[in-house]
Amino acid sequence: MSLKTKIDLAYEEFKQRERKTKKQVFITQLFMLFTFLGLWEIASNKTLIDPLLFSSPSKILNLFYVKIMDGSLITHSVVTFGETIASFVIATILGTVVAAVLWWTPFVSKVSDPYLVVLNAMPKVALGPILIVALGPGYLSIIAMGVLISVIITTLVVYSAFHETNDNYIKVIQTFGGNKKQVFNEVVFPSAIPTIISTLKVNVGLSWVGIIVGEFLVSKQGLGYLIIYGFQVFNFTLVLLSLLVIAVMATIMYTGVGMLENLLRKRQS
Amino acid sequence: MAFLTVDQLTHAYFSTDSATMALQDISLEVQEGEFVSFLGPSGCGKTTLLSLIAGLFQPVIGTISIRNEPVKQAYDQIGYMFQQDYLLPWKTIEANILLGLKIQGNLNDMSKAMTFELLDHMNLGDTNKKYPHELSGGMRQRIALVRTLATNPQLLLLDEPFSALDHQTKLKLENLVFTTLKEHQKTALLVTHDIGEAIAMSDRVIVFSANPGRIKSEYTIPEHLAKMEPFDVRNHEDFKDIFQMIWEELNELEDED
Repeated sequence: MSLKTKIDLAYEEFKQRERKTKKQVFITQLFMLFTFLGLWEIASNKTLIDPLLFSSPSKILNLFYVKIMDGSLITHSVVTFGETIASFVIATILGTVVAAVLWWTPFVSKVSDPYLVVLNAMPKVALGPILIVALGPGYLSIIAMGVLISVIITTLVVYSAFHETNDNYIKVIQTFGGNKKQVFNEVVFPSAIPTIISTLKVNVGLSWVGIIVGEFLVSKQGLGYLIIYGFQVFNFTLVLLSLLVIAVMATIMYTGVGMLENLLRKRQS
Repeated sequence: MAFLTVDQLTHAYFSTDSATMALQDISLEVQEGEFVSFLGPSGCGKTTLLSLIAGLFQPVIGTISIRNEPVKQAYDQIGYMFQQDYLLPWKTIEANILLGLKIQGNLNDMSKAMTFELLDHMNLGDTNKKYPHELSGGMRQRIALVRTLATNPQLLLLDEPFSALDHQTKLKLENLVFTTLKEHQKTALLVTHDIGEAIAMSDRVIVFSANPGRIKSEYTIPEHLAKMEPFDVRNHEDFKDIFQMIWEELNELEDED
């Protein structure tokens, strides 16, 4: 047997082992999910746990079907999803723009430093009531809530990425006689793109927090509203259903941003 | 009239705690087409001098002029090569080598074609669409040379451009840079701490002492060596004597500290 076929064989074996592990992990994950759902169902049926409080998978599934059929779940989901996307896009763009202004004018950046630290440390949800009074009880204050919660941290992270741009790249532009705008466009901004993408990932989570809290406070629609409503009428099946839908949608957004990140990383690594 | 004139230049770096003198009373002239090396221990302000000549910042005292024009306005006559290639990793090789032309607003079909010709000349014509990380260190430094030459500068500032390369690549690149610059009749300043490199490449070697940086002495390389390619100079019998002389000079400098 030649060396080449030996290596090919060993490689095949290696690939097979990898495939096997992957399969085992997946099967274990599925097993855990179904065991959990099964135990939950049984415990709820035998009243080992309070069915009123913890509901059961079958009840949730049933409610899901009903709510899909009457169209209300779709409406609520679309509203919340839209608000989240809006707040997350606005926060990222606004944060990046503010960071650019800070980078551009070191004086402004030095002046605003303590204010940014205080704003960042402050729990932004506490501003909720003020927002509602200022912007009215509607989508606007909910989106503002979502923006507020993630914009400061975006600004700080992106600014520090701008600030830490490798000086030698900047020097390259300057030796060609490039001005500040060219330095920003050719070097500072593109080198910060990976950081901006990773703040997107953080912002997905933060925007969801902002939007749900905002909906708790004012809304007539959305998944946050459904949770509060379910809680008020003691319908915990509804609360759990909403939670599940949020989990699925947040995961989808997060995966989307992750895919965008991979795409960009491949292009520039 | 000299091509480059540095007149009584003194520079210091300021921080809130202290002012550090980097260069003291530097005066020198460089003729058109000349290749001059700045040799000296680290901390002697060689790189500072190069940055000042490039117009990256202004000296505290003194003036620098190219053809009697202060360097602040002379960026289109200057090309800078760094210790590493510093090719922008998010741009293709094509975008990287056209960067200078783009910044200076001189990007047109003709300047593009000339830049690609330079790239071909370095045997790197097929790397156009690649990204820097796909290429070796030597290839990247050659591309950095193309990027520097693309704007057709008259004066090349070489800031230890071979120091990050392995020895063999370094020797090859010395030859390439030398012949390319001679071919295009460029004036060049090379900062280095490698005595052999300074002798092999230059017409003139200026030795600096440190703390603060001052010009200590100057060696004119004999014409027959200055004309030769760097690799051949290193193998020439006269090379050793000059090397020995500068070596002793630098040792003396160290003892003074």
